[in-house]
Amino acid sequence: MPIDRPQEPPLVIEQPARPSSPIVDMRDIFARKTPQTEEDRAQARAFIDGKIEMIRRDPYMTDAEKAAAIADIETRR
Amino acid sequence: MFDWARSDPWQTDVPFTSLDNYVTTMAAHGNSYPVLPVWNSTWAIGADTYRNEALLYNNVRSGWDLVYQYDYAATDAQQKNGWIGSWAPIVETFQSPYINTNQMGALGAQISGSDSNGVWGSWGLLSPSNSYVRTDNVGFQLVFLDPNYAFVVNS
Repeated sequence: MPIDRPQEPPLVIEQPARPSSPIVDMRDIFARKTPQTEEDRAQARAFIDGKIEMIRRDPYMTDAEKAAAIADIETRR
Repeated sequence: MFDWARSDPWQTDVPFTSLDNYVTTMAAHGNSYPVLPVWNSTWAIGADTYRNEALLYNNVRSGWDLVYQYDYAATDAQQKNGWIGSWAPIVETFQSPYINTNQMGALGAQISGSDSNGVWGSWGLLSPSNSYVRTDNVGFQLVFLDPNYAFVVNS
């Protein structure tokens, strides 16, 4: 079901007592300017491997839940 | 930034040194820490369409800057059933050779969820009702922990 963007989170950092400004779209500044490199892909695989290891060590998931989760994640390597 | 909804998951490409407008300070347990306030969300924007979004708080103009957004096809069942991933702040510790790293972690982690009618609830600090503290005891040692919304580790 379509819903609206969530409300802004309350700030927990120290800020002057003034209302927050509207959201500004800065995506162009932050957008990736270069194609994914082989190093990027290697880092992504390492990141995913870390998640798989985290699932293997999860103290609360059952073996069946771990197997299903790892199988799902391994499709993204 | 890593977006699990994409086949090219590494997104955004800016050096940390360009984040001066976003890095600020926050006090915790008698220390002042440099922090990068982040607000990330996933929600349904249409029938079988979801949006991932990330914003950084610009402390110069006192407002949130949208830095990343990605819309993708997914059903409610895909988003809510089975393995949907983990989402809370974490320092992943899979090896022991870390030595003398700076203190790092997360402060003031909050969550808000919507009900079945799409009405968002209030933001609240992470608690045992929606998260758990994971302690692997590998590579890093705890500096402090405020369960479940703040922690700092070092080595």
